[in-house]
Amino acid sequence: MAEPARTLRAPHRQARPLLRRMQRYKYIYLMLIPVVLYYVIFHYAGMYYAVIAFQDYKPMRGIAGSRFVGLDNFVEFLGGVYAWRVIRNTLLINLYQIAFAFTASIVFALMIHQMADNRYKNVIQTVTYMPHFISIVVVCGLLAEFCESDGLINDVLAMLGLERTSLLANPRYFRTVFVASDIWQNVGWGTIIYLATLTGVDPSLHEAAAIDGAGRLQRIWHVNLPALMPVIVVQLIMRVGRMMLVGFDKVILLYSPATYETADVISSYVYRRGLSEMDYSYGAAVGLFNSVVNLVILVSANAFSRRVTGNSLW
Amino acid sequence: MKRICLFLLVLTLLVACMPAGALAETDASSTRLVPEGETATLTVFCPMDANLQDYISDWNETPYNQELERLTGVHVEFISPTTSAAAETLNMLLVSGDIPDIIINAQLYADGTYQGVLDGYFIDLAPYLPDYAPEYWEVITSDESIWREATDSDGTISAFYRIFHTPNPAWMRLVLKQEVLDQVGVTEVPATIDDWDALFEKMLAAGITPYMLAADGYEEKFIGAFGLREDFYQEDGQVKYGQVQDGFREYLTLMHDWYAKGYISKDFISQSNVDTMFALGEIGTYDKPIVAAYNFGEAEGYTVLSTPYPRQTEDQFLHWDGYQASLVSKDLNYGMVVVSSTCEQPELAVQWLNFLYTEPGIELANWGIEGLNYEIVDGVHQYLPVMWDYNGISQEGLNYYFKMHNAASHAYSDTVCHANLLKSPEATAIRMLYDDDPLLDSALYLPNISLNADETETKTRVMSDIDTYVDEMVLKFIVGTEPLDNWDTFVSTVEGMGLQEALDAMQSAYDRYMANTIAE
Repeated sequence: MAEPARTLRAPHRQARPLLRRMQRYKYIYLMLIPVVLYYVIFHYAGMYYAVIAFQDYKPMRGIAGSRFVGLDNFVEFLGGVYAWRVIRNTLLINLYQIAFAFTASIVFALMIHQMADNRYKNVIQTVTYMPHFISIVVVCGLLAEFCESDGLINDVLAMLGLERTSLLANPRYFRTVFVASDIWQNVGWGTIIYLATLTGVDPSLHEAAAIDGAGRLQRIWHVNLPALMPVIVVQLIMRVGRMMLVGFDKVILLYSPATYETADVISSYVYRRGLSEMDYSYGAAVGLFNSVVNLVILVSANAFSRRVTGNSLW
Repeated sequence: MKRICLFLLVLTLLVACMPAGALAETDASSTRLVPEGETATLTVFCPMDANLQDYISDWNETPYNQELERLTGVHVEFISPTTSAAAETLNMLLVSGDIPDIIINAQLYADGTYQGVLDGYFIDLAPYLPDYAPEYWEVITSDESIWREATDSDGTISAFYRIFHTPNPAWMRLVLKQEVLDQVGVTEVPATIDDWDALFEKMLAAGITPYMLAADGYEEKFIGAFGLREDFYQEDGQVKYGQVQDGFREYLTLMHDWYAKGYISKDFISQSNVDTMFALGEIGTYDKPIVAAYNFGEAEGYTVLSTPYPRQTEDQFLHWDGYQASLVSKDLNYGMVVVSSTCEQPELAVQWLNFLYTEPGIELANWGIEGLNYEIVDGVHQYLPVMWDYNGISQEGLNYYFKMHNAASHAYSDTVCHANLLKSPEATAIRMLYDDDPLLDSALYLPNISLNADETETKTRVMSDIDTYVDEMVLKFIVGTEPLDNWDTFVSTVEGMGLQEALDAMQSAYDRYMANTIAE
């Protein structure tokens, strides 16, 4: 039965050119229009303006009237004293986030999934989702208070016999504060996709494993984790694709000149130079450089994953 | 809804506290800029005052702006972001090309208003001033030093400035609480750095965090005691950069020493609620507008003391003061105004701005509305009680409600017309205390020079990296994450980043500035 169906369906699909398919499913295609428009307007039309990265752009003179300077802005950035530092900080914060925040969600999802009591489980899930919805400005306001030398965190440290210190004033602690608070805010939210996948795992697999004498940990390791693997890989590729990005809002809310050394990332640097100092071309050049590197990383990660695990985005 | 209710309340109160006839309606026929029966409209960018933003949503709600509209016949549509969002909002407006006719707080334009004219955003006012702003023209041509400050060296005039009749005494002081001094057994306010050190030691012993240094690590009063100013300044006509001078190293050494001893708050970089901490006696001193601190203390039941500028020795002559340096103010909020190049009625815009330099405009901006918030008794202006207590708005806010305290106008000094000072003789006295310091001048002060396009380009390119590096190192030196032994490396790094280029650019602009004489 299966054989003829497959051979029949393949030519059937090829015989249907795009236009005819559009005619047939026109309402579905109509629903697609806003999304396509969104991408065309905000993601493709905007690309044209990346040309200011190669100019000495002055808004009043416009793109046509501004002086063309070639790669000067890129040379200035890459030859400047801060290029390596902001690239390094961006990469390190992302590495830490992947190492700790990304894995935290997976571990947390596996733990929640093991809970037997549904009411307790619901409470835990709701409580851990909630921080995700708090405005980043409020979160950073709280963090600033907690990190003061007489704040909550220092009270705990002092109880453990450690010295009180202003955590946000010391470059050594910036990444820890940044990543730890990120885990607190997003660990629950990150579990959703894994929990959805885990619900779909065939219970008979677990039963079979249990009959074979597998303990709880072994079942997690040999049943749940393999089931999650494709999702994890896709998530990881997408996460690695944002390797050169750190949201500047949280950084500029938490950093100060005292912590630039570890806290200043590409986006915050672009923000300062591009918007605060109105050096639009320079900001655009750094941003464009950043996007190109990002693209390279994303393509490499995808290729690597395809070869090693067989899972990939495309 | 809340806003509307509040507004209605304000209106009723306004009507209620105006006995018929008490408000001396000045005749607007002589002051109108447009003929009777006609109205003109200007769009004006003017950030909302932080003390007013909870009470009004539009500047047109203030009696001051209503009176200004009545007198000039010009309706204003305000664009009023909060002060914290002001710079970004302005940048967005400039990039979008949808530029308001008039921009108040033009110092938000990062490269300076002169560069703004060269960039094509703002108009050169010079051709308009003699005809359309005769009063302002008269003020700026009255004196060589005013002319230099109010114009750009090549004859361009990029902005209107707040220009004082007489110098404004210093308003920022390191403040102390009498109660804290009593508690630690000190009878005299500190005069020298050693006095401060001794006071801090006693405060710390009493469980008080002695000093909340500014979050960026710079305190001009202590820097000044080492014979320099921060950033660019000039000494005998030579432009210098403060942060690489030996005196600055001494300053950092002192600050680091105080930080290590616990005299400076461990949280100074991420400080918050400092006013409250001072009021509660948790910190000993910080830099604060002296009269505001005094009046607040009086209301809360404690006594605030002013302090003289710190010195190394009591007979040291200080040269860093900038308050008395010029009658032209370029850094006060609202005190610097430009007309945009997209303004379709530049003549009207210039006339409207000039109004605050004419007699009725000077009265309005400096004092407010006669009969409403002040009255004239025997020829002397006196504020009415509403000026200190009205509808829950803070005293600072009321200065921008009934009048426009820092407006670009021909301004009286704070001692003449600032409600906070005139509240009580003590308030005036504390502002004036130490103002007659005989061992103080502004010799190091660098006037507000105008850089041309090349100089601006050089300075921006060089200084944006240097500023980042220096600001970062200053905090590290103070906190101690960078030992002061590395000072020489620090200086050579800054020089290696091209400091001299920026100094040369500033120097040539300064030389042009000094050669600038009044246009005929």
